[in-house]
Amino acid sequence: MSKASEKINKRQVVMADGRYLIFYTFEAPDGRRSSHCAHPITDAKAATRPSKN
Amino acid sequence: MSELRWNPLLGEWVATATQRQERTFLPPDDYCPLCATQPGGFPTEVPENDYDIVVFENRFPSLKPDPEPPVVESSELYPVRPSQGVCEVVLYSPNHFSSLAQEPVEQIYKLVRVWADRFRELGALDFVQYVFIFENKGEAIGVTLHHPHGQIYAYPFIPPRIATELKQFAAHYESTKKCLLCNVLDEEFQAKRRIIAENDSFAAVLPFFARWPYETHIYSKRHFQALTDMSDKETGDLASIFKTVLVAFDKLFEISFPYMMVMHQRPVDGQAYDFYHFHIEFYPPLRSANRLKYLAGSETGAGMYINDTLPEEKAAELRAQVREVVWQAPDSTENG
Repeated sequence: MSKASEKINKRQVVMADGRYLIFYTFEAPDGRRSSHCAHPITDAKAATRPSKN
Repeated sequence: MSELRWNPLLGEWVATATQRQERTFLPPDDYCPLCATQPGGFPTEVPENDYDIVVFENRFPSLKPDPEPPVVESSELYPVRPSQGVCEVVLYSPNHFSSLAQEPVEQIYKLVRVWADRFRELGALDFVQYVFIFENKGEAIGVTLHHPHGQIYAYPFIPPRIATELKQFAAHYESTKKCLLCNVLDEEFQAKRRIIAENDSFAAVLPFFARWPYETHIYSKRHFQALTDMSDKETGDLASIFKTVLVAFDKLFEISFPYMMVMHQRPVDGQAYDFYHFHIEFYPPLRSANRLKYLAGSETGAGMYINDTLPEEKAAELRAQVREVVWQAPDSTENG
């Protein structure tokens, strides 16, 4: 199966000041959301910093 | 205030963008404007974090689709024009503490597809002639926000360095009927000493003519001009070699390696650029673990770079840090 079979979903919203913002998500052929982030989290502040910098 | 002013000495445009003085500068980790807005928290640029990748218009742009009129008048010697264009921010992850090097190759593969989508969409705008995808990473480069992100500038003209490359590629094609970068790649494969890594579709090279100690280029093996020309196999291979280079950078000094990454693609002004060849360039500012290479008098004032190191030796250092890229998705092992 080709990875390209993952469908790109784009959802565009307009911010209060008129700028656009586009959410990109990827969907497997069976309709499942395909997520490969290093640390899939719901609270971005809850992660610990793994970087050495 | 933003406008484009012509530099008649160099024959190139300079953007003034005074509003950028006000942009957020190195906020604490818990006050990141690129993290998703939290319930009850301060409003950020991103209202939710249920995404793979987010793209939005820069809040402090140097180019805008509907710019204000210039504040100064044009003259014959000093043409001025509105700073029309687009400046986008690309968030690589919802995770503030990640970096592209730390993201799985599958996430980089998604990013390559998003980059291609942005190239296609911005390139279709009638006022855009060049779509420039880049990343500034690390405080050594002047980054003001740590959240992993890159940028895209859609210029209303072909920027000077790209114009110089196009001129060189065209001249080489005119005299040899061959692609300049295809010839460079042949030369690098013959020499072998400056090759850092390769896969079926791409090679990572520390070029013969490197201006920075760890300058690294990614060249496509097939002759094409833009991300949108790639097959799915090539898209996966680009993600793989991207990950290879970034991991080697980080492992070199065991730090999150700073760099500028720039993508060189064909212009989108409707002309034919079949003689051009897609490639990516990384300019890391470090010359050792704790020393920076500065762009000083010769580099900035004369345009001649002085590289304090031998590309062949630095390529060997990076090559020693290459690790296998492992795809987690069961359908993508052909790119491993």
